[in-house]
Amino acid sequence: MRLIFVNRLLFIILLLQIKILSQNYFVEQLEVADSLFKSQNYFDAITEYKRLLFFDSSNQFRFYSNYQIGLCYKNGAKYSDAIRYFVLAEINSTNNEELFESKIQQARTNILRRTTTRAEKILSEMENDKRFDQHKTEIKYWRGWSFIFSDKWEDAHQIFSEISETNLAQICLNTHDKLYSVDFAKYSSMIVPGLGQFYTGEYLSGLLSLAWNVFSGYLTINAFNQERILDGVITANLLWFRFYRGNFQNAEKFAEEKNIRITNEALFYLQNEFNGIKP
Amino acid sequence: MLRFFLTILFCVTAVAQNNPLKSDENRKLFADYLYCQQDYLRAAEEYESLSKSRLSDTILYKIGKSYSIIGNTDKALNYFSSIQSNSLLLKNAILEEARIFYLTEDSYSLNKIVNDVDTSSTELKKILIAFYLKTDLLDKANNYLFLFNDDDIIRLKRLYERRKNPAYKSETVAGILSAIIPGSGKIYTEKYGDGITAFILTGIFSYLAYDNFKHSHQFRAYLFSGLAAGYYLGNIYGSVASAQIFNAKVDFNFLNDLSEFLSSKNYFINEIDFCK
Repeated sequence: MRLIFVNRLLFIILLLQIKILSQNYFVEQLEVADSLFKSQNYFDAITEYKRLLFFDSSNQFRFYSNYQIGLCYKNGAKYSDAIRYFVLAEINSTNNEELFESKIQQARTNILRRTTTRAEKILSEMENDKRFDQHKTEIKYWRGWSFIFSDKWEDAHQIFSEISETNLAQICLNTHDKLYSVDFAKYSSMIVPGLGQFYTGEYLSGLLSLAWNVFSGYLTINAFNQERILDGVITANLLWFRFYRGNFQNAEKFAEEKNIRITNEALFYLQNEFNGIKP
Repeated sequence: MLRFFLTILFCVTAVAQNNPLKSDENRKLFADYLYCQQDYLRAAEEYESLSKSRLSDTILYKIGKSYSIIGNTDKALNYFSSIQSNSLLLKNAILEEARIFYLTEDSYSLNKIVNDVDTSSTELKKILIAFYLKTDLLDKANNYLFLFNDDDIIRLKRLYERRKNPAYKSETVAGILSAIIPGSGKIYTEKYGDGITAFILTGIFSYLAYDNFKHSHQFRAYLFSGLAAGYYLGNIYGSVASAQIFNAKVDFNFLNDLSEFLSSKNYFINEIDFCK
């Protein structure tokens, strides 16, 4: 009787041992993967998280592993892979917090990938989802960043002002104020050749544009005045219009190039000097 | 019974000292999964970490294939060459090596593999012919083209003919034609729009220059003369450049078609599906 009891007890201990050990292996595996992640060894971290996913038949670590793999890919600038794993994390989320984290990471990675339309769509879905009501401010924060990456600095300023992110709002406002109007540069050069170049600070180019247009215009008018119609038509088409068209295209290009430089400076500042949370 | 349970308990506890997820058996399972997921670098590294006794020819081949796909050709060659001579995968491994030599343009190694390692393989000879066509060694290609006959050889013969008699345009002829009739050099190089435009513009500017000189409008006469001369000389230069571009395009299209043919034939390798 006593022997049977001892046998049963040992059998139960054995089963528990097997169960606990298998759990321990997964926890141990997770710790290995996490330590690799912390030491920024993302390639090996992904391997270990994938190993955990492959052997974890209980699906206990499914959300966490997919989420961490997503973060590894994101940190390694492999944004498309990162989004794929954040979507898998979303599918395997077990509560609203996990769901929120995986979705917001999708939006943040889309911002970094410059697929801001997709990011804004995800953020809009989240904003309309009642489960995320307590995260409205955070959603707006990332929408602001999405506006920054899609060059909508004024919209970004407005949204950051709404959620009292004064520092970011000020940076966006300053950048917006520095930007040149591409349309103004183009159309002003159509009215007065060279004016758009002057507006963007390219004075020499503006003067040259004005001179070429005046010169070729003079030749054209002069030819018509002397009743040399073919000379006039050819000069107008092949000289004057060529310089006229080049003039306003040039003004437009200058404004676009200057705007790219201004936005790059702002993004460089945000990347290196800004201390808040970034995508 | 008591002894039995105690033994099992001891074994389970002893096994627990090593992580079974990284046992050879599980590593292989995981590597197979990664290979089928096309995560080739990780798959290769997992296979490589197996103990030596586990490295079967299939695994060596899969490691070589993984490295070949991700472009690490040195490691791929290393693994393909380590496959044993009695293995069923040997033929595929040799062809994989030949593919790498073809792509890296290693003429010496490709010749060696065809003439020393497997002299009876028609697939290897086809890769060698393709290599000679790619590197424009037509006499050498010709030596192999008539050794045997099948659909692939017919295709390769057609490509040989294209390589031997390319539809090049002469740069000199293009330049001379444009010097005689502005734009005709461009038309010769099949740039019809450019040719007609150049002809009309040079003609108009020349006429305007002549007419302005005739009527003593000196400034406009010199202006149009300058423009006419610019268009005329520019067109001669442009026609020569156009012939060069045309010839480069002929070569590019040939190499593209050759590459497409080899890709469609998978370099004559009978691919094994390990993920069924």
